[in-house]
Amino acid sequence: MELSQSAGQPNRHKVIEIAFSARYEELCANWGATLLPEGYGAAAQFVGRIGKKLKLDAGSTLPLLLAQDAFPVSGWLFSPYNCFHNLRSIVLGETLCTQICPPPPPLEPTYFRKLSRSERIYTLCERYTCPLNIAATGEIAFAEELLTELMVHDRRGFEKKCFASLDHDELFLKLNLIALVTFRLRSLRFMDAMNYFYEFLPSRWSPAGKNAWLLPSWMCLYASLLANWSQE
Amino acid sequence: MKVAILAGSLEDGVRIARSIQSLSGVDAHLVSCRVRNRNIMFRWGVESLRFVRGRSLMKRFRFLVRLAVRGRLRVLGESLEHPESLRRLKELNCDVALHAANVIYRQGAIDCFRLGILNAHIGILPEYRGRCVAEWSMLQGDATGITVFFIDTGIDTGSRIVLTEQVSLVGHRSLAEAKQFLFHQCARCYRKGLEVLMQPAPILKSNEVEKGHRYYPMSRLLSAVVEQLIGAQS
Repeated sequence: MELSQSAGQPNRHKVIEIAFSARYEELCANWGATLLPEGYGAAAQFVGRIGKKLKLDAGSTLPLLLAQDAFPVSGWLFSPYNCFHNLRSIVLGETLCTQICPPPPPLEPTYFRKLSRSERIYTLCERYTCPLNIAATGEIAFAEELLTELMVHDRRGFEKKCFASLDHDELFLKLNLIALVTFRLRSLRFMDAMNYFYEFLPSRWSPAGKNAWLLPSWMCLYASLLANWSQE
Repeated sequence: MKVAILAGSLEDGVRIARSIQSLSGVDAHLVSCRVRNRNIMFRWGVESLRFVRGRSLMKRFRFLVRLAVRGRLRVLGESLEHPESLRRLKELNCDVALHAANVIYRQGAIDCFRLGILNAHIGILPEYRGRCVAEWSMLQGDATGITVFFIDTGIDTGSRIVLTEQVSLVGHRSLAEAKQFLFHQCARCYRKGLEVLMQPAPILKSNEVEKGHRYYPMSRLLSAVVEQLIGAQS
């Protein structure tokens, strides 16, 4: 008898949900108490609010930050604010100021691969001024490219503990974007990239980039997914 | 059909060579490849250890000596992409190669063989490309198995599938045991793949890459879930 018949789909989903729930509690216990806003400069207030979210109150869990209908399906969300501003708003559960507009031409993975470090961050921020656009239907191929970069190139750096060799801003921006895609797709492949990186993060570690707040921002998105995981 | 087994370890190479040796019309050559730029002493140390640890040591050793005596054992001192290695592979003039070298091939190496290089991938293509595909198949409740296909320079994107075989992993007590079992089926699947290719007009399936996904190493969290699912059904 095959696994699918013996364990059954609902059972399999249940086992995954239980595992994610346990990871959620572990994340909150490890990071909720140790996120010190003082180390995050101008983003201290933002990080402080995330720290409060991740501190487990008795019986409470972090709500689902984004429903699947929050994402553009065929169009594109225009926002007058920049990528980082909007990302912080999403993480804090605030309403975004957006308008629907036609999507830009696709971003070719081959073009993106050739860019320098600074150009890559700039390109991602420019394209995704509203970060929800990463999960638009036409962007899934590019999201796959980001997933591959994370799980092939960046993963190697993490596994060899060569944290310094990685651009932390780029790494955590990509993880934030991948988290947003996971809210839309509910895909275990995308979700597991976050599981993987979480497992490699040294406890109480903070990134060296100019935008170190991207780590707690990603933690908050990841925690929300863990706490509310259901594929049904 | 002249076949080269591109092996990263003699143990794996011998297992495949023994599996296909009795196949009528097959002339098998074992090519020991240098992988991960290991130096010669380290390489032979690891090789010897792995070889003596396996079962039926004497049988395998005799088989290896027989291959060497008949001129069917080659040892590449350089990486597979090195011009000298490519020259020696071309010199073999083989129809097809079987991948057991744990490397990603460039076009130069693939072109050394008339038909190409076969890979026995431990997942069902086109859906499951990449790493940890047995685990991902189990996690998602899909069939586990082996696909024998002609590789290209991408990750499991080669367009010609020779054979797909579902292999049940029920009854194994752990993920490691289940995967080991699956890996050991590869030699048998290579044999079946060669049988298909030796037919007068072999029918190959197309690997429709766009219908599948690429998978990556699985986290400890989900690996533990897979272990749990295996435990529940053993």
